[in-house]
Amino acid sequence: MVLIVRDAAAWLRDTLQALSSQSYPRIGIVAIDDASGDGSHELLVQALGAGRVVRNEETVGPARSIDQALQLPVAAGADFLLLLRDDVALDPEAVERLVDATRLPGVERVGLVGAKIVDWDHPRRLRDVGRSADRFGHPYTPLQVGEIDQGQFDRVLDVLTVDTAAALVARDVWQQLGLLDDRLGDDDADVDLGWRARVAGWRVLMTPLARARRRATPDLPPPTDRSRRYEEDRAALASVLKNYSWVSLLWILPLDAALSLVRLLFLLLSRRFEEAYDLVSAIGWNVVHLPRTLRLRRRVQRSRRVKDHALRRFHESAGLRIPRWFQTAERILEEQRDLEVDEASASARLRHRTASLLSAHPVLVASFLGAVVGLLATRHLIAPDPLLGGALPAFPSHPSGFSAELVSAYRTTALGGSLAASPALGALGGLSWLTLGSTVLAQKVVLAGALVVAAVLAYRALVRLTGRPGASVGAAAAYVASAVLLWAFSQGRIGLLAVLVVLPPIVERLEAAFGEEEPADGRWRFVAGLAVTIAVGVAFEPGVLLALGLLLIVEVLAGTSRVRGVVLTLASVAGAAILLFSFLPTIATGDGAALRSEIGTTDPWLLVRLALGPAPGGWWAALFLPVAALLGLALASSAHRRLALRATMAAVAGLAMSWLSVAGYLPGPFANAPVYAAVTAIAEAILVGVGIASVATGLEREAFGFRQIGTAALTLVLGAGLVLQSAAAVTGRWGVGGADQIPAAWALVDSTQEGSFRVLWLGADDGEPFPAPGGDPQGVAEAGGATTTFGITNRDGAPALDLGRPLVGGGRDALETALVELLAGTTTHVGALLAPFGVRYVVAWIDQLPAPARAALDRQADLDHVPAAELVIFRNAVLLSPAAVVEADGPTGRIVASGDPAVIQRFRPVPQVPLETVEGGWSGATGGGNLALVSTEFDGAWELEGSDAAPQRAFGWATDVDVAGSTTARVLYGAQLPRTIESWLLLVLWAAALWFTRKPVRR
Amino acid sequence: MKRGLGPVAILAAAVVIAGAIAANDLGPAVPATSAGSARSGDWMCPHGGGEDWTAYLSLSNPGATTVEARVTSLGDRRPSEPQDVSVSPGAEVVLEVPATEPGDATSVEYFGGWIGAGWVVKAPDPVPGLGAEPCLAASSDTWYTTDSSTQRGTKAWLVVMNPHASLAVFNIVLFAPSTPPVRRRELTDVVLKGRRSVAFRVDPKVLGEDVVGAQLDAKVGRVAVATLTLSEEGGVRSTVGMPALAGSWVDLTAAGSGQSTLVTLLPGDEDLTFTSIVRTADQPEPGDPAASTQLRRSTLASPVTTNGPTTVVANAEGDSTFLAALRSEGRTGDDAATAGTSAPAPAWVVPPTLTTLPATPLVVVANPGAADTVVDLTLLRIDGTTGASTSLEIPAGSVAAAPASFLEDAPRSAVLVTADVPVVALGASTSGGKDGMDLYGLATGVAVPGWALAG
Repeated sequence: MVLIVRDAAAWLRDTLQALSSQSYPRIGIVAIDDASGDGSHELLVQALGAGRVVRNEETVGPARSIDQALQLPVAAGADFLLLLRDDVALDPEAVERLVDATRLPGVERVGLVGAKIVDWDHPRRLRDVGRSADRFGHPYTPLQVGEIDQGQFDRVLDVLTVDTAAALVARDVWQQLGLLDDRLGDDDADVDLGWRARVAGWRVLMTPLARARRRATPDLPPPTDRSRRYEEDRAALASVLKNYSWVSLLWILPLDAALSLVRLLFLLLSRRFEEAYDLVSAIGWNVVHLPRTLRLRRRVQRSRRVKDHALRRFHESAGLRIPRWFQTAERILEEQRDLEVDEASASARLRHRTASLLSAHPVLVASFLGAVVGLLATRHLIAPDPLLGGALPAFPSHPSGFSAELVSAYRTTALGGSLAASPALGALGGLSWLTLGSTVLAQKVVLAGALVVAAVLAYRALVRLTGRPGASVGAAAAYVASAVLLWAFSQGRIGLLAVLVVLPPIVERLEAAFGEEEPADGRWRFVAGLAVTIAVGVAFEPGVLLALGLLLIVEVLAGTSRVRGVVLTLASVAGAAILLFSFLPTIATGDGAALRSEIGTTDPWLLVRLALGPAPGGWWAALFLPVAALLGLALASSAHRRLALRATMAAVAGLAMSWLSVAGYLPGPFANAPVYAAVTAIAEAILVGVGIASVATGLEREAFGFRQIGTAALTLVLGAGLVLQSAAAVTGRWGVGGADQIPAAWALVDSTQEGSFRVLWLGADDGEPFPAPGGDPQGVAEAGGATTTFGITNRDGAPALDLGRPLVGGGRDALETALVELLAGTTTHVGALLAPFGVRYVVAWIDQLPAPARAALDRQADLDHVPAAELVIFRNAVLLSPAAVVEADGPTGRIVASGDPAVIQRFRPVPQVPLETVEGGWSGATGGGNLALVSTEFDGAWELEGSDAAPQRAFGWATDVDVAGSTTARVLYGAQLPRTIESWLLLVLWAAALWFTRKPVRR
Repeated sequence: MKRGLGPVAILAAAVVIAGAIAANDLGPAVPATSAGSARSGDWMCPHGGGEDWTAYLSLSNPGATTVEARVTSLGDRRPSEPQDVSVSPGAEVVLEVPATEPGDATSVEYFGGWIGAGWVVKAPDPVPGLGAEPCLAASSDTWYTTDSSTQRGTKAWLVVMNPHASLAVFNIVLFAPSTPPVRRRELTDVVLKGRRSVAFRVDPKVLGEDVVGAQLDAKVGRVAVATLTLSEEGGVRSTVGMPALAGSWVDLTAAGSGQSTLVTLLPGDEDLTFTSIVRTADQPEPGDPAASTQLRRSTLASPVTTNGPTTVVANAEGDSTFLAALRSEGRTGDDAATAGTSAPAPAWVVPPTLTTLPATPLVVVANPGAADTVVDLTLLRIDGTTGASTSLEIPAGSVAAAPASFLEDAPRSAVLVTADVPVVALGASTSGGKDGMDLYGLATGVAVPGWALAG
């Protein structure tokens, strides 16, 4: 017997006394004192004699201590080795029963036998009855916390491993496999040892006849400053690497990597950077220690007698981790746990009476149901192909595309210019790298993740506002099932989804800022947190500022601590501005065009149910949310009265502003119907939460009346609404999906031979997006009944690189002018007017284009109609590549130098050689041409490499450079450095802000 | 009992519903209108031609600013290099353009204002003749014609021009009274390259018909169409195609022998009854309407006796639509024809209809409306000098011709016709030969958009 002792003087006497009373006669004891400093050594010497006590001068841990003991002759010659910790007291017959278990009839090759471990002070509480692990090496115990011993495990169990705090090990096992891996923690090393024994064909048993009491928690400092999860993760991966065959590793490792990646994303998105760091560290530890792991692996695999599949019965299924994830999510939603304590007494009777799982674990149940509905609803989206359709922007083919655009001093999309890209590209790029460099996967993670995060953040906000987890779950579910959120998902509106994600915390933070009490986390942390939240929202959709403004007005009108609230809010906005300093000009340029959206519906009845466009869940059943909100308002208790009134104000104002936006009654930068609709959605969800929270307790003590009827109605409306919306989501057809979500006629454009060109998208000014992949309108060309919306993209459609970045500047103004010329009907040469923009095709829905606009297009002499179903497509006969060297004679040169449409319309096709896109600009052969024409906004920083030729303004807005006499032309942007410095500064600011507002990790 | 916010909820619901109703009634804001500054347009002139033929293009500018034009000749070969032409305000430019093949055509692009355009083609001996028509303002994917003849000694072409860069693919169906619609393989899925113009012989495909109509449907692209007819007895006739049928047509004639034929086409599936009302300058009161029955999917020739300037208004019964043109016999061997119009307008430019002198040019104006009007006529002279003006009083429903002296000094001038009510203007002339009577040309004018005169 090897007894491992460290600083155990307080209970060591009991342990030794239990040893001395063992019924088994032939026990040789060796004690290893692992550098105890509390008198344990003296006790051991006194009880066992100095010859049987080995003292370590410094602590080496149980594994090495056991190895030291095995060097002693008395241990090396033993048939069995009984491992025992100082905090374990064996029952008198324990050793005998352990030995008996090795000789059970019909049971051969018993390598490891463990005792039934019970609590030291409360022996009826089970501590260990043998353990297993999931497929990825994470330990699993069948015991619930504090589970009472009622004989339910009183049989000899064949298990994967046992607790080596009191376990018998056969000599052949340790000689063949070694004992505990000294790199791993106690519990994790146990799993590893048992697993190795099993691989080598040894049986691992737990015998309940051998009972041992173990102290609850050793009063020792933690061995490391790492979290338990870190220890578990690194041990699990090490065990996997050692104990699986190569064939099994071929599928286990990729799957494990994918799951780890999902977890890492979750941790990062929830700003649990230290936990994310622990996860990465655990993987990194295994990389660093891979050589030794492989050496140990060779030893295990050399002794292999059992194939992996034969051990499956000792592994829990992979699904085991799903509840663990939910448990983790529930831990992260720590408010519930705290609040459940308060709610426990109030709702105890209900819970006990109904034993309702829903009331006991609303988050778990809602998460499970949400996951099921979500998986069913998005089953069609699970494919290796990229998502297409709706208004989903096209992701670059490589993650570096995001960072390149973010850092680029000039805009590579639309019509160029120097407007900085949104910092959101940094997040998307980082996510794309995390998803193994796949932007396709990142695209799906963003979409699906937005729903999950919106639900989680809505729940967190609501539980803080209402104080009721159950009510908050219902309200958050209603929020996620709202028509506007389902529409945003269906359309792939990443910007709006971001708004829907950040609005709940913004609303909750504003409530806290304007509340009676100071923010619980202190003003600085509050400001930083809200600043980060606002900055994230604005980075994806600048229009979130409009929502913030609307909510701020409501709080100023009806909040409590107005001065404090305004100060904190403005400070947060200022903080967000710092985090977005490079993006601010982008937001402000063009009279705040970035805030504006042309999307929405002017049908007020559709708007009431927040159905801004066709999507699953936009049907009549979507009325459940406003109806439930009204019922919630009617049921609001006095405790929630002011919150309910503010939410009502926000909801009604959001509806009004949304309609006014689309109907054209709001000034440009204030018109953003989707954002206002999102405000209404969260406000209505708050009303739902308030209503449920108000009737959650005490209803049974009131006389029957409106509150009972209202509660029933609210329950019915909410329940039916959620069920119907879920059904719609499951059975409906999302706007995003596979290639079939793109109009078939788009192939006529897409199949055009290789080369760069742009597409001009036109549509009615009715709030509808363009056909995919055109995205959303970027402007409106007003021309009476021929008024159309317009947008311009490259051949891939609307790019994700333009998230939050509007089409503004000289190019945009020139484009609008050209379109007005078209729609006014006075020119028949709009093809020439569009040539400077590199427009090769004009595309619109066939049934959406206003008739006067269609007639104007038909009149154009230099636009050729391309017959197509669904779409109106015109091909521009006056082709000019977005970047090319042209042969410009005198008249052509005069046209290029002019900004007057009356002159530009005379532009005729000229010989041209397209230039290729290179880092920092364009490059290619001149082909005898004399003028490099680049369809990007004029900027004096453009330069011709190796030449002093200054750039000139072409067509009034674009750029040209004289390349006469050159055989090659390399047009590069010469002012990159400031943007590079900005980008690094931005990175530092975000890192600091996220670190400052990180969530504390639980050790 | 706890006090709730029931009344507030009811109030909120009422506000939302009332707001929705109000929004529904109010509707979206009306977008502003915008005026363009880049004036431009096109004329498509599928005039055709033949060996030793000559063709002239008239470009006339009734506006106040100089208009730049880009003239390109099209045929079954590569288009010519564009010829840049400036047309001064109030002036006319006459260009000779290639017309050596029946498929020849001319494309005109103009910038900076508006100009009118028309053509005259002239065949030499031994079958002298002249055809004149206004150019077409827009290409289309559908065209109808009705003036072809395929009787012995007659050659008839459909001139189809594709002024655009991309190819056109179209089908042509021929209609005649005594035969079902003719769909020939060589007239089906015809591919015409961009910037090309070709002519299709009609007479070998439908023999012995006095009136042959055609319908062209382009599946891809847009084209412009006119007829060209050359006969031993009737000289040369040109009529432009019409992109759409209409229920009412106004056709004019003058200076002929007094024998005209209203030629109509009904490509539809139901028979049609239409009435034609003839008015002359001498007899402004209409006679009894002549009712005619036009058989479906066929053409019809309805003789009309005219006397001097004459207008024929053909109206379909019900909602039916058809096409009508007027063919007039000349006083010698050259006939003339012109497509009418279904859209009277307050301003017209009448292109010249002659190429040689001596000549007797006429401008005829019909007032098909219900109100009397005074019409102003102004010469758009080739030399750019200020042209003479005159006025005509035209009673409602009547027709009148400008005095012979009006065009005497500048017979090849175009004429700007303006009125305060919608009217229809026609150019008619006899020219050539010793007495100026050998060649006979008719051409309806081109309507002038309102903005063209304002600028």
